[in-house]
Amino acid sequence: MTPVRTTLLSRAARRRGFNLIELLVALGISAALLTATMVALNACFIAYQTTTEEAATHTVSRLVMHRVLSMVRTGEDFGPMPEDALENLVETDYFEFTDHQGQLIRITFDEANSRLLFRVGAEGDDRVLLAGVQRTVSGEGENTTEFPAFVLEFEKGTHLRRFSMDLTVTPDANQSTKSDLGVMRPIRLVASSMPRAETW
Amino acid sequence: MTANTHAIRKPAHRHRRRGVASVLAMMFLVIFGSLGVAMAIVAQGNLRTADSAIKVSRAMSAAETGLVFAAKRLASEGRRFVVRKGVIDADFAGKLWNGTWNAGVDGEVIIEAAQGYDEADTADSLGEAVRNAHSADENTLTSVDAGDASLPALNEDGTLETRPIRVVAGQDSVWFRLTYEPLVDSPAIRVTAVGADGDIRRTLQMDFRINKRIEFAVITPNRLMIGKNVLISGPLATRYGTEAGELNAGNGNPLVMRSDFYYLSDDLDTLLNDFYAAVEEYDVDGDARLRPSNSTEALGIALSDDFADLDGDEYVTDFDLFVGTFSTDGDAQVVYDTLKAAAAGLGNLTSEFDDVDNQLAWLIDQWDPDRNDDDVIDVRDTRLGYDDGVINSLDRYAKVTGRLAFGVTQSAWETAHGDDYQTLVQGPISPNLDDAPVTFGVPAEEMRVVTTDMFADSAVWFKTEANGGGSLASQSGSGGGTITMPSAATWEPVPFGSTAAYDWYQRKIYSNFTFENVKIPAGENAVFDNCTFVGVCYIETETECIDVNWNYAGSMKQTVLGGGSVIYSPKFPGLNSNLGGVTVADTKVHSNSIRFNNCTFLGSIAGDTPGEYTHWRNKVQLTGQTRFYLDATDPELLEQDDSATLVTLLNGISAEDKDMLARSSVMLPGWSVDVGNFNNEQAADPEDTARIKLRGTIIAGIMDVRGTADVFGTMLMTYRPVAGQGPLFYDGQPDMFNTTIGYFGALDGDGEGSLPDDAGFEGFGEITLRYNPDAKLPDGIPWPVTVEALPATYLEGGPVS
Repeated sequence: MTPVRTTLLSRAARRRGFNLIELLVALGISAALLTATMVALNACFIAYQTTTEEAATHTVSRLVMHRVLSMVRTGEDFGPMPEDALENLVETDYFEFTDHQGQLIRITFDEANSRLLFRVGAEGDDRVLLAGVQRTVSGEGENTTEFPAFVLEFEKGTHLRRFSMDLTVTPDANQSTKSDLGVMRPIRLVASSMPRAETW
Repeated sequence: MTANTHAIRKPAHRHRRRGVASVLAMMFLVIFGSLGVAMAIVAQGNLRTADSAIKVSRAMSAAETGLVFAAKRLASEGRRFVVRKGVIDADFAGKLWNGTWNAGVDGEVIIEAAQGYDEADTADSLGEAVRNAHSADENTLTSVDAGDASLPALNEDGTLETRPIRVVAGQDSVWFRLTYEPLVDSPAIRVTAVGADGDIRRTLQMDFRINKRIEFAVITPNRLMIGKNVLISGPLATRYGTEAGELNAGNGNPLVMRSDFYYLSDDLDTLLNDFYAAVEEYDVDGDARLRPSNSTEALGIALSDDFADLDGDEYVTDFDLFVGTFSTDGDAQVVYDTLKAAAAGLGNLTSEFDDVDNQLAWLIDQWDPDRNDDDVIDVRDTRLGYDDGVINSLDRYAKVTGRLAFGVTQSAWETAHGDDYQTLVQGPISPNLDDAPVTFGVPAEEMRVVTTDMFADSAVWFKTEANGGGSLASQSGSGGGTITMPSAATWEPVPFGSTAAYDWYQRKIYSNFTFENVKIPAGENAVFDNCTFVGVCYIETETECIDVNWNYAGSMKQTVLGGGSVIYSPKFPGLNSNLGGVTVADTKVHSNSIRFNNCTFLGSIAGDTPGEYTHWRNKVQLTGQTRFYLDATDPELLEQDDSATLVTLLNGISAEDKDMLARSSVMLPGWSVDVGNFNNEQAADPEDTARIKLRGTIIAGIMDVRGTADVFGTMLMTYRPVAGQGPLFYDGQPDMFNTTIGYFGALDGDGEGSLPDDAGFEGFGEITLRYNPDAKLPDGIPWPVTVEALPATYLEGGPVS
């Protein structure tokens, strides 16, 4: 019987599990693996959120940009005109025009509040067209260049021939906080258009 | 057993290990799988976004291409429709599109053959013509939407739907589709262009106006002569020389155009002669300019160091030579009025062109007051060079801002002339970007001759309107002005102010009257001084004036006797004419030679159409500060001292009458019309010089514009001189009968003009002739329809999505 008992006991003893060292090693390995997995997972989630937010910002920004360009194409009587009629370029943070319904439209880059504003009528209220809008800047230090939000190119100092916009849009600030990122890449919106009333 | 034990144990051991590995593997698999899928979805979303952006842009471009395509198609098919009706309103536009016009009501409509494609079924309407042109298109798609194979189709409501048209041959995914819809309340066709790239579509919409427009500032069957101190904005056309035997050395040339810069200095005259010799030799495109960047024209520039582009317009012209001669400080601008220059903010400059030719300086500096085309003349225009006291590049000088069109071929002209035609055509010609400066051999379908018989019907309205007012006698008899009866003091030469008058009239003078719809009876031969004509001023004359002596019977001459006294006696004693078999000793009493001096026309001058051009007898002269207005909101009218009175009078004319009056300010086919004065009465300050302001569509047999005048409209001349006929019966030469604008001296072959060195010469004058594209036309002129875009109607989005 003894051999049998001995065999059973030794088998039971083996079934009881790892010894402490083995357990600690196993736990350590698992913890390390799980930690690495969580870090990777978190990074992936952050990347996903960042990409999604950037894509959403891209889409919204493009919609706004296309809307602005469409309004320029169909607009007339653009301003501000150059102070000197011999000058043709106006670099500005706002521009205004008359739309096809005869309404005065004004679009303003509100740098202080990082917004693009839209106003209908001379006495209308400004409405936010796009948030997170900043002035486009390139270079560093002494080589920093700030780009005007809007450039209006006139002919004979009066007739708008070409409109250009250059703005930078950062994805939603709240989203950045939630993701604890602070590394969202801004999107540069550069576009140009010609009013059809002048070009036809 | 041992082997067996191992056989049992090993699977158990592997099972335990496989369990841990499986959990971990599955966990990692799920995590990374999910992430992979998520990233793939995001990446695909980004790709889709980018793809959509490209497709949106491409669809938009396709739609824009569609609008351009429609513009070209409407223009080319519209040109096939030659209409006599002068104004195309919404009703007639609809009839043209649908083919429902009535020739008895709407006038004749001629449909020319299709150009550039075979038309299976001849079009009976503009809509059908456009449809047929689309049917001939090759790059169409038939299966984008159901029913495409049956397109293009003209629906019952007049809407024309077309097949999708590929933007790129062989690429079916990018196309545009056009829909044409005639508008009920506007003489326009609304075009909707849908552009597509795959399943992305964009829609644009724009209206195209159906119009009738004679796109020339002057069109004439006789010679055209453009003299010194004349600036023209708009195309010029002459069909002179196209008739058999018409073009020969004795008959003259279709066009003579003189540089504005002769007679200013001997040095400049020499320089100009050299320059135009170079133009004749090296100008490759006929614009009388030499371009440094053109290898051939550059050879001409290299002939002289004085040939330099001083105004920076990339051409060397006679203007550069003028600037080089008179800009003594070398700043490429010529100062002529230091006070104006100072007022314009140009500082204290020194005058460089003092009393050389003030009218020329004034002409160039005052040319095109609305420099920025904003319909307001203000300081911004001055900043752009208007009235700033200096002549420089900002004045954008060109003799003709437009193109020249000739019925004759260049070879036929030069063969008859015996030299290069450019020996006769001076002054820079600045055409639109897509126009050639000079076009020869223009077919009659594109540039038609206007004849007197075309206006027979439309003249009826003017006569009927004049009949509605009181007679000249009754209106003048009711007071308001004074009448000076003919006396020794009222003799005056014809043309007025000419040093070589061909006849003299002892005139009755009406002063300070206001007439409304008045008829001037034949034989009146009066001067109307400082009178206002509201509505129609209709001048009657004998229409059967076809006898060869009609022009001359009764003519007078002036003889200056010793002591300064003058006598007037018959110029051709014993010469009689006849009217229907009855002898007429003096045809003046049957005709009308009228001079309007300092008169205001709030409407039109019209008259009976003489059966033969008889310029000694049937003549209208506009002198002094005679002016024409019809629009009570005209900014120029509102600047007048008596604007309040004029506006009140204009507001008394009905809208219907204004519409008819607007079709012709001068409706005198077959008459001789002189505008301005041979003696241009130049004041010390050119601003005070009397100036004729003629507006609208001007119809005359032959017209002379001299002295100081501003013509804004279209001049349509009707008289074609033929040797041995009419006034040319007695050895007259056709080169004596021409449409003359501006100064020509005796050295240019003009017997009526004086030379700068002559006693009493008071200046070269200054004349602006500006084409008005919006000038309305009277009925009767067969001219092709114009279909042109109305850019202000451009919309994005539309009824089709």
